Amino acid sequence: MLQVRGLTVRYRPEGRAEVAAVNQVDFSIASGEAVGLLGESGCGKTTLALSLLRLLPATACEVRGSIFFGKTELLGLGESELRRLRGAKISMIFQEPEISLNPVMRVGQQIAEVIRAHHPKGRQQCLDEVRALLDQLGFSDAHRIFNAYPHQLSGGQRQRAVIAQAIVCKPSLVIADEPTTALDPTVQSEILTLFNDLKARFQTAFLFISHSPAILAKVVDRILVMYAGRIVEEAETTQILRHPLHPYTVGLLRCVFELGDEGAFRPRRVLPSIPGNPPGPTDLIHGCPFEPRCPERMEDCTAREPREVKLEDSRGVRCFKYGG
Amino acid sequence: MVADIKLQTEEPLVRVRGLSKRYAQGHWFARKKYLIEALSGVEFSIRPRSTLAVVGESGAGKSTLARCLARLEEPSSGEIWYEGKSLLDLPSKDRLWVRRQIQLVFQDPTSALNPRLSAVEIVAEPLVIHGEGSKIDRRERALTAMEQTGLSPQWGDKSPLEFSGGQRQRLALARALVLGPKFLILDEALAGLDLSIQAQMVNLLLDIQATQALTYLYISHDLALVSNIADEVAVMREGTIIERCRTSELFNNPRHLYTQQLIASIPRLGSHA
Repeated sequence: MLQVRGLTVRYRPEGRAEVAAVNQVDFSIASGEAVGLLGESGCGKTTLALSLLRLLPATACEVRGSIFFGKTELLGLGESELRRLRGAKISMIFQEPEISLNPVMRVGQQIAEVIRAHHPKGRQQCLDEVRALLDQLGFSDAHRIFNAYPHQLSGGQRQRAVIAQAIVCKPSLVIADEPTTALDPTVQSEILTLFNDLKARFQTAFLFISHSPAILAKVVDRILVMYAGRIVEEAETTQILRHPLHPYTVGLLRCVFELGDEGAFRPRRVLPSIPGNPPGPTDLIHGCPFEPRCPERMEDCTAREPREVKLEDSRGVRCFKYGG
Repeated sequence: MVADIKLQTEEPLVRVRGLSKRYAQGHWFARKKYLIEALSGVEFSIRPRSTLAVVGESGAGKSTLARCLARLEEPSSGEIWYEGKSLLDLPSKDRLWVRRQIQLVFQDPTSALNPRLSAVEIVAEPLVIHGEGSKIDRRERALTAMEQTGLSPQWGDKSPLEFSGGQRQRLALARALVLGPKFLILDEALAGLDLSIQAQMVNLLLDIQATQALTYLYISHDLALVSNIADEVAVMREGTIIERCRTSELFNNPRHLYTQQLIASIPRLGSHA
């Protein structure tokens, strides 16, 4: 359903040199599939998400490659065609629900606005649809939420309202950019359950962006690991968690704070971590971008960048260890 | 085991009894204000060189607790004892001494660091405030503190904006350490950092605790992280501590229903591995 080929996004910040935030990215999402995008901050996850909706800021001076959504090439669309697409076919959920909601408009009206923007339906009909949706989303008091202003809701309720906004037109792809990061742990787990529910009920495809492997493990079928603007590994969730291939993925998974088996407490010890910091966008990269932090670096690593190697079961990895 | 018994009998460094904090809320012009109880009857003690983690969700009163202990906020009632001295009615000559002993590290290092100063000036600021050493001396001590937190002294003249998120938090930590404190309050100090950086920072914190005999109060909503750093955990909800025990006990045998819910909500890789 979504096919991205050779996508490169370059920024030119004011008065500074051009930098590539996303570099030669290929991936696809099948309809109804939940795909996770995993990586540390600054690796290009959000830029990638924004480029799918063509919402990049003006400093993005170059977008190359192709993004096919069904049979439509998104990079070739004009603004009015994009408006018809956004919210109706592809929608986005941002990290902070506070910023996504209009503070001076009742929540129910805001959700109804999305329907009215895309369908020539009557006002009453829209509102009825929204009420029905809020009921489905597990609000205990849907009527109050409908009439409330965003500041009268808790963080979790606001995020549910934003989710309602994103799915009210039954889009075929929902992009969720760290949708639970700002939430408390118990609320976070409720929202993740809600996502799983929606996946089953609406047959919507999800692109779920997170820096936490443990969160992705709960909701997605397949994980793309991103580092320095490139996708360095791609595999089914179970595979990647059981046998990560790329040294970066291995390191990242080792950093997850685990409670141990059956919740048993693991005594204090030195935690595994990845030394150093990810490269900034302005850092010059020779060879593999992960080489300076990699525990398994070899001679080849500085010479050139590894190619993507396709392995069995639709796995892919960019590392010389696997012949890249 | 022997070491364990010794720790148990040692005098606590910090002891808090019946600590309460009420805020008046309501419109500016409202005649009637209503009271919000941010903390009510909080009690705990922390042994020297150990870590107590306070966990809970937003609005539980964790940050109010941190601010009361650091004396940024005046508690409504209760007692705070530090090394056997009551912090709330301290003679004025001892106040500076306490400020030197207790340091606070905030969640968001970007807003906690003055962008107009260079890294080394930021770290040296507490020394200036406490009137210590000459200018050259202060710079020297600030650079040493930066080195302890894993920042290269060569970066001393950079602006904090040139540092990454993890490095900024190291800088905030260096500033907290420069006066040689004994008690560090870390208020969500690692939240918002990447996992790999969080793990680096936990290692650093444990390292510094061991070498400098520090005592930590670690405030967090992240139970998985807490299980790796704390000796004891206190679970807070609506201004009160509802459960407090050793870390291993809390995770193996949580008593309170709310604690059980919190532990169950930790996202885990377990089901796939």
